[in-house]
Amino acid sequence: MHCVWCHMKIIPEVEWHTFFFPEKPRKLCQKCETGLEKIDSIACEMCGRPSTKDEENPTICSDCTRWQQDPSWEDILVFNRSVYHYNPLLQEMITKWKYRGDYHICQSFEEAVEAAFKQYFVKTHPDAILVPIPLSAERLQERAFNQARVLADLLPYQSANALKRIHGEKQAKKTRQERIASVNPFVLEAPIKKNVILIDDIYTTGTTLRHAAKVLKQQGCPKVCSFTLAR
Amino acid sequence: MRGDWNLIVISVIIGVVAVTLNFLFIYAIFAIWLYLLYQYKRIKFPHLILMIIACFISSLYYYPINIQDNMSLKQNSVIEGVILSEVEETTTSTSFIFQEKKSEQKLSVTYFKDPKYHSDQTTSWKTGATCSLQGQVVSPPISKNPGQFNYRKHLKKQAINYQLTLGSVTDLECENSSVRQYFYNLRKDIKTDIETKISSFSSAWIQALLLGQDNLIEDADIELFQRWNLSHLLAISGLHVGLISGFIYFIFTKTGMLTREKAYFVLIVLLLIYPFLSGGSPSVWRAVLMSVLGIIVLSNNHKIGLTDIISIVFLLCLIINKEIIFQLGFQFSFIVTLAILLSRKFLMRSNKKLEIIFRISFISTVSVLPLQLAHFYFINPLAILLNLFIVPYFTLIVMPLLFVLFISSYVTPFISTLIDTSFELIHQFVLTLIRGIDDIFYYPWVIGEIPFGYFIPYYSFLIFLFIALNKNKKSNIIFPGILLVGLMIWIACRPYLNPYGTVTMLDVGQGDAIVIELPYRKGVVLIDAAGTMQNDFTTPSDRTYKQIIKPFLYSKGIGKIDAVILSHADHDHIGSVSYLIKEFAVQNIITSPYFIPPEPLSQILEEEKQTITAIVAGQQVTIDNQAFKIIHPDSNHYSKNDNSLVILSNIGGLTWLFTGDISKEVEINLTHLYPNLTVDVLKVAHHGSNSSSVKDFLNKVKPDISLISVGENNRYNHPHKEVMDRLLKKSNIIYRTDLQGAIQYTFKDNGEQGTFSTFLP
Repeated sequence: MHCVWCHMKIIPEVEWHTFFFPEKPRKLCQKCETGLEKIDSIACEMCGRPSTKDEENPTICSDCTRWQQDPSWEDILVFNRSVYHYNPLLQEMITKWKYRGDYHICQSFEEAVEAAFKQYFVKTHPDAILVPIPLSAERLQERAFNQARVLADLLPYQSANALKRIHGEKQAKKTRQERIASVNPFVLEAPIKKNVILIDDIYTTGTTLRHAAKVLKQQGCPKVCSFTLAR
Repeated sequence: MRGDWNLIVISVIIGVVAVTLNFLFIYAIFAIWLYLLYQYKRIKFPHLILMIIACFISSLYYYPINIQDNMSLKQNSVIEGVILSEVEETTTSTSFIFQEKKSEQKLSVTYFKDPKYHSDQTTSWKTGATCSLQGQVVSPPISKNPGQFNYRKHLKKQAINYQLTLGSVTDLECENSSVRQYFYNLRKDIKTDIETKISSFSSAWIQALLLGQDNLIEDADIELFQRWNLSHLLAISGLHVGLISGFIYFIFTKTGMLTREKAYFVLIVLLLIYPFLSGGSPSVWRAVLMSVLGIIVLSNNHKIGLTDIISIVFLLCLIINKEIIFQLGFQFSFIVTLAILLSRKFLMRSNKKLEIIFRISFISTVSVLPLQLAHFYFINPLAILLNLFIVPYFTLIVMPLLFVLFISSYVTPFISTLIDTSFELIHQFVLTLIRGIDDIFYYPWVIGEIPFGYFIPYYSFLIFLFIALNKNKKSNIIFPGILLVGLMIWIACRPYLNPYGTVTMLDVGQGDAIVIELPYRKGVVLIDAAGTMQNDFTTPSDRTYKQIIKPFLYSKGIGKIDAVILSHADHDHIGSVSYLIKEFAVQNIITSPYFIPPEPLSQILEEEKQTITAIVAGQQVTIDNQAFKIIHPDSNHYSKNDNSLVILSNIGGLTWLFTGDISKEVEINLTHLYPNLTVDVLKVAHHGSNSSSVKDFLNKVKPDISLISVGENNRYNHPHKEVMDRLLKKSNIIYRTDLQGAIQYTFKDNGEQGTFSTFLP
């Protein structure tokens, strides 16, 4: 077995707990595995921003306070949780994955994504519906797969393609101000009356997710949260 | 398959255990395990099939076949065959393993050298030689006492069912030899070389640590190392092989003699020769094969995990030598190495050297503790601490010094003398230090036999403890830790909770040794402790003590003896006392006032500041309500035998009379002094000699059961026929140690009668 990312051979380290019952085969080598930093403790209850210090009790960060103060965005997105810190290694991996079409890279995230989803959502939201953030038709044509959809497929819940995206500029190329002010790119295809968990690869400012949430809520969705790979 | 070889090894072990111990339920556990592994996608289908095949093959491979006793070599006929093993020579004997050609039966052959007669005949006895030999084929001796080492079983584990002692050198004629003999000769040459070039002290240690022969190191030091769990330093293992290959590699590459690749190649060749030069014990093979595989893997950039390497080596060893799996050295070596490998997270977490050594020492000790107890019945808790200092001392000082000494003795004799002297100086000092520590701090914890059933909870708790230690979760460490300590305490406390007491007449050959254990371990009393002589019949030997008395007491978990009652001062009744008081806490020795301890016992009694109480007829010894009444002697009879203490006691609902070696005069005298004396059990006086056990005495005491402690084929022809005839008329049952081994009476503390049992059926 080779590491999905660096292609080095993986030698499973047998320890006491794996001597009689081995672990599932690893996708990443030890080095890459430790390069990805899982979010263990949260600084902001709302956006799931990782905390740098251990002792901190989660509060609401200033970004989220700003969103909450705006009546038109208040409580649109109840909360967001993410799997990893958006560090340089992950950034590189996501870039290769979605822009260069290296589909297999998502294997490296599988286990952590499943575990994090189980931790944050399975008990508290037993019958929510997953809605992956869609790509516009042109973009989907370009990339051949929707990374949010791929992530949603890893999870044990039903997902629905409730949204459609109108082609626009890449979010990644805009500033925060531009993002917040931009026109909502989403159109609802089918209204959902159940709780929704939005799935996306990255949470940067939260604008995309809030745009999507707003569309859903306008058509009677009771509660929208989100789950992303990186924060 | 990478990273999964341990699963194959587990499958193989399951197969072996199932058929050799006849634990068929293990197959069910195996099936459940496979199902879970497959269900949870931990293994793929081909792996599953491979594991089933591995288990199946090992079950077949180890299926116990009852070897037919069809050896056509019953009586003094000529046996044709091949010498299989190395021909091992000591100063007094030559021995080897021989395989008969037709039946492929293996024989352990020994020749005791005749000191008066030197012959070169033995030089044709070589490994691989085809020989014809003549002699009496016999079954190896079995153990006749509880706790005693079973030599027949030991040989059987090596697939040897018979042994033969050569009467004279002319009984064996050989020709040819195999390639292996070449290496053995080389080893012999090196040995003679070392012995001439280096002082005897240093050469003894070089031979032990580099050539795997520790017979020049004094027995006292070997035993010292055993007591302190340091024996692993004397047996060549991973430590030695690793260091030696490190030295060689360093010399080759640093001097520019060879490139790294060539050095690897040379090292592999040397390593594969090494087991033949060093006696080829299981630990050498394990270490060498692991190093060779490791080097191959390293030099090819082939990455294989260490657990895979040790697993493959394990399988290789079983293929090369099927019986090796039953050898204690092999089991210790693999279990300890594996436990250390699997615990490397726990080891690596510390960066203090001393702490790491402590952790290794801890892991090694606890991972083989049940095996250690099952074979040696005791642990020395302080040994971990001593290992902490002695292991680095051997690694950093002894091994490098000896290696350099060995090389320099061939290259620069002047420097070699210098190193020789300094090594002797340093090592003598350290040995003296260890001996001093042994004198003051040796507190063995004698736990006793541990039933196999306790292995399962022990190893379960231990694995959970090791998992927790690897993960460093404090809360998870405490629980299995407490369970483990609790289990050990429970095992150690079992004798104190046991409502049964025993009286055991050990088969010590021609002599007496009777152990009385009161219920709930309220007291342990010994009546006599026989010793034996060496083959010359005049030098005292500790054989009886080491092979029979001590193992029995240890197997029962006895480390403290409340009283040793010595009937009289003959060697066959007191010969083991001098060893006994050194290793056991003997509270009191009880004798008659006419007992004069011979040299050197009297001196040792004084050195050990042993309490001795003299007692005469009419007095009694009481150990926790158990009274031993002395009914003889009341005066000096001016004969050792007739001054024997005669002890009357009521044990487990029966009246017992222990008579020492009294003669008929004393017997008759007793019938006059105690006209109402009747007993249930009589220890027949003087091993059944016709000088005692007269009719009038037997008629009076009316023993229901007679016990005779007597040696097999003893030179006095005890028990005498007329005594047996007399006893047969009076007694319902006669037990004899020569025919039945140890005789044991087991009773409960409620005063009801117990039952007799014999060690041999």
